[in-house]
Amino acid sequence: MNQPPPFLHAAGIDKAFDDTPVLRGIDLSIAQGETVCLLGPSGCGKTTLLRIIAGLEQPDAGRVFFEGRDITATPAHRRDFGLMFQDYALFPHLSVNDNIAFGLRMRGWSESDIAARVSELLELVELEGYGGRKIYELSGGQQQRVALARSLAPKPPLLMLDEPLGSLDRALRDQLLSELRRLLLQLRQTALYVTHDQIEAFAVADRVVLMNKGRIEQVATPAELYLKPATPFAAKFLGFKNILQARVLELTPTPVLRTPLGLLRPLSLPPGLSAGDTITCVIRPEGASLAADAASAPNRIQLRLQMRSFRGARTLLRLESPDPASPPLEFALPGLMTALEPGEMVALDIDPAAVVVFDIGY
Amino acid sequence: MSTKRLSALLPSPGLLALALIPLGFLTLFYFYPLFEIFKLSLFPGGRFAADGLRPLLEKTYYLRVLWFTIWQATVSTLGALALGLPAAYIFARYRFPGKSLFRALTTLPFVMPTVVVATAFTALLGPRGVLNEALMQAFGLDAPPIALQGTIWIILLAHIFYNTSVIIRMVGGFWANLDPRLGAAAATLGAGPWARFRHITAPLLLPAIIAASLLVFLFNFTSFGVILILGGPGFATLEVEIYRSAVRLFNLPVAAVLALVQMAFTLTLMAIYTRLQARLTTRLDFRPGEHTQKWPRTLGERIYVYGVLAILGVFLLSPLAALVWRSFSLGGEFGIQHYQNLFVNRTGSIFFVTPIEAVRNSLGFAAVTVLFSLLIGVSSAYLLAGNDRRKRGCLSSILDPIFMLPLGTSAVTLGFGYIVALDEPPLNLRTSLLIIPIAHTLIAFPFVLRALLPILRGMNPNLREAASSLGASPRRVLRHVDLPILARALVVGVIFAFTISMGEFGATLLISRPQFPTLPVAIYRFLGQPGLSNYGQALALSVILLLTTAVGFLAIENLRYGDIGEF
Repeated sequence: MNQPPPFLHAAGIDKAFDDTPVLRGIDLSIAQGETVCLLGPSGCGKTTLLRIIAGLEQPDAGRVFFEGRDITATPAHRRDFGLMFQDYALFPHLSVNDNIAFGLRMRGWSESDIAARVSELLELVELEGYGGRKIYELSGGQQQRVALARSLAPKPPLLMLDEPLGSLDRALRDQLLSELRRLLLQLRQTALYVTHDQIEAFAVADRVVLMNKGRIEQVATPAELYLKPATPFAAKFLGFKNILQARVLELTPTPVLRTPLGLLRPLSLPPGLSAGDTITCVIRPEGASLAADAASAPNRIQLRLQMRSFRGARTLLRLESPDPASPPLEFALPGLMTALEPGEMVALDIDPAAVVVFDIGY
Repeated sequence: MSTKRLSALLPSPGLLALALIPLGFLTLFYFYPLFEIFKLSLFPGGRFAADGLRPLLEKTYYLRVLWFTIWQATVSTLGALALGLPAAYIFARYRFPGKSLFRALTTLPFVMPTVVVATAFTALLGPRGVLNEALMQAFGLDAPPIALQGTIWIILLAHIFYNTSVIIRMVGGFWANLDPRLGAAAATLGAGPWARFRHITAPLLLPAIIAASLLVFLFNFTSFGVILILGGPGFATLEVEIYRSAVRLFNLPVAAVLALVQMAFTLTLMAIYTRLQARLTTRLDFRPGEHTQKWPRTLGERIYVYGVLAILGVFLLSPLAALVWRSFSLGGEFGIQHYQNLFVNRTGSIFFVTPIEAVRNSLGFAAVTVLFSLLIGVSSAYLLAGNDRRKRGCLSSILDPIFMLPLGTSAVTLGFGYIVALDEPPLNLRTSLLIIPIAHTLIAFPFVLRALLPILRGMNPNLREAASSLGASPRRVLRHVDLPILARALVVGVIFAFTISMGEFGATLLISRPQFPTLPVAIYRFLGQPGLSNYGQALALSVILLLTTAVGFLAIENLRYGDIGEF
């Protein structure tokens, strides 16, 4: 009964802009030391939720609790949370040092403590010697580090990051991403990270909150989300192509689905299904292998190859769906597959664990 | 350096011919008159003599004039800031119904000719003004209770009326583009509203505020019509004193020395302003204005936004409204009698012609000014934009400020320079009617240049090359590529030149001939005459000028590309 309250809890948050609902009944809690990622397409409300938690926006309904205290009415500057902005919002009229020191000055630190803390942070983000620079003299990656140092300087109990890598190129992003993860772990920093990029979310998050049209679609660890997307939206957002309509034929001893590709046997079904139900399922792209022999086997499908495309460690096969109205299917197989030519029929064995069946109603 | 590279640095013959038009014009009608003033003040009679300077040092009167000039300009600037900054914040950060209309409205006073503004203030606050009349009727008074005309207060009010819009547009425009996330970032770092203003908004805004204040100070410093008409004989700025010394007292050496002092001040201010303007374009994260604006929601916000807008609206509209109303209602009977009088040449009138002739004169001068300004403006714009991008940088960095010089020189100084310089052969224009459009062109062509230059510079050179590769001769390229692209900017330039010429007062007052008065000069003369009918005709002429200017201004607002070419 006497469970401690969650570190941060946003309860029943509703928000509309000019009568367009942006957030609908959002419930989210964050545990201390955890990195939670709000993931979703642009316009799903993730940044608005972050701004409500930061105190920069007021919810129309619902409350925000911090360690059990209701902070909904507390203005941003009294919440002591750190926020790192997309494009950083570094103060252009202040030096790197003064940007990092800003939050400390606002809290009335002594100048000697400030100097010590600033140099500690410059070291942490590997920008020693840059303290006197002007903001516009820095590269994008350096600005990103200053922004991170600035938001970390006052030791915020919760650090929020709004698309912090959004304006960097891919290579720099990958590098900074692993540095960021290392820093957050090293500091045991509780963090809320907003992004539309699943690679970023997977790399940085302990838990991913997938959002869609102002609602939470799924909350899961990155691995769970990838292996078991709960809804067709989640599957599509993660980039899965092979989404099929199917009918449940049998439930026992092993479940069997009738799909446009033929009969498929998933490892498991969600509870509550009965024979005859129409459902949606997805086959993950790496869940197929080339059939080794000509004999028929369970979960074997035969499809015409449209295109073979080299993707490094794997080769992507695009295959025609037997249902001409459906989009083609895509599987990523290890190896080069140079023996396969477009136009050929290809036989594939589908891993039962790669067939994910959604709850009825999706 | 090889000869080949040397020749590449020299301008081509075509460019040289292009340069000759604006530079020749500036030399003859700007530098030469100023040089003559310089000569007259320091070398009277051909040799150096400091005599001319003596009265300036000996008589405390001139020191008082200089002090008053600075003092009134400072107070007027502070007043414009006090009203303009709260309004700038509203325009920068809020949405409200009718915003674009309101924005145009707040800029209207700035484009009004000084005589119109001065007349409008007499129509509102003068002894025959709307307010006094209403108060006298309401309380049965015998004398007008508001006696502001001829005091410093009405001068300051008129200056604030004029310049508030400069503050609103310059500071407001900059403010709107300031990234509001800087404030949000400061908030998440623990800065409350006051700390955010002190540490973020104020330092970022300061260069814009200083630049706008400098410009306003410059306008107030060289204020002429407002002081002359509203202040009466008791007040003199340097500008007014130059006019009085030259025209009323005919003490040309003193006028020349005063003009020199005046120029030293204005050119210094212009130089500081130009440098600040350059600094304003330093790397700030700018956001398009529309993303940073919200509707006022809380009661406090609404009271603030609509309260300031109401004060602003009343302050900026009431003089103009009073002017129009008075022009119909002066003398008890509501009607168009004052307008009808414009067509009557009454005996004993100060004119040899009917007053409506002044309208015709002004239209004629404006038409010639438009032609001249187009010629000078277009050639200088092409010169600065240049066909060769490599040479452009150096040439344009020298010429650009030179072309802007006339804007930093007071109109009365220009007019005075024409009197002393252009009165003997080979350049005897004193009796020529052309002297007026020439003076107006000097003031107007920089605006044509400013309207054209961004478009010309932004024009993709590939367009011309594509056209010539498709077989268009250089002339046809001009006709079918340049002209259509420049059309809108050209129209804007034409309207600028037209309205500036219609409203120009300071220079014209010195150089116009009595039998060919322009509209502003005619209004000034009517205001200086006693009697209801004269005042009525001044009002009627002012309304005509007001309408011309307002129509021109609204046309410019609608034709301009975005915010290009503001001030």
